[in-house]
Amino acid sequence: MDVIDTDVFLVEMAFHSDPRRAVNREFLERVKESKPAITVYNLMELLGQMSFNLSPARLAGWRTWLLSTYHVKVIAPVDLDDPTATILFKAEFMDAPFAKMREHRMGYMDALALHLAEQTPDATSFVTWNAKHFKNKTTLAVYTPKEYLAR
Amino acid sequence: MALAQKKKKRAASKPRITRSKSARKLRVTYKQVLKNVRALSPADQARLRAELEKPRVYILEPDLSPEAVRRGQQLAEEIRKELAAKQTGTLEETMMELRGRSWMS
Repeated sequence: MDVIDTDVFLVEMAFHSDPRRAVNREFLERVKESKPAITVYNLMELLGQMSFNLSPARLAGWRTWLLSTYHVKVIAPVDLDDPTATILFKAEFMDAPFAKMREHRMGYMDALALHLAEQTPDATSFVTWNAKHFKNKTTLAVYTPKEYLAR
Repeated sequence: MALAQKKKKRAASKPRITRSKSARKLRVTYKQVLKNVRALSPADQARLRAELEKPRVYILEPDLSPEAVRRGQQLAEEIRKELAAKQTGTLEETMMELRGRSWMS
């Protein structure tokens, strides 16, 4: 399973004049066949960024305009459809990301998302436009969308 | 005869009542569980904590019914158009704000 970073979806949805947009679109079309994934943290980061320019009603439809359109799964530490789901806060939000920060020098958001992706049994790669930053910091293969298409 | 039938009926209905009572008895409350956990030895408490801390990952699957995909594509197109008119700045600037470092690979 390919796990996709926030920036890929931002290019697709919001940055229409970005020079990487064509490759980005091609990547999303290609990866769609194998049902890729996004971590719940990246999903929230994406929605947070889009909230500045999108109505709350539009934003709330993410399961349709994001998941169904791009065939994307969401990786989460709890069942997102279980209203009583609980989590061990310290292990998930402190210990695991802090271990990554100490080992690899990385920001909190990167550490949270990467840790969750690594725990996903079927996850094999992480796709981001900033692949350089993530390489050698994770057990997953890291690609830019361009590198992914060239494999 | 009628009395025997009544007795039979009563006997047949008894197990249902018993099952229902025993099912109620099986329900445990948070307080009871907590009390039991506290009664465990420190080693067993540590084992329990390790078990609970095992990473669990859940996958939310997309709705890929033709209707959901068609609706999703339509909405995504509308959102892209809406954002095209409003979005300012570049991806680099945005990701730098979000992640706190340069975003070129």
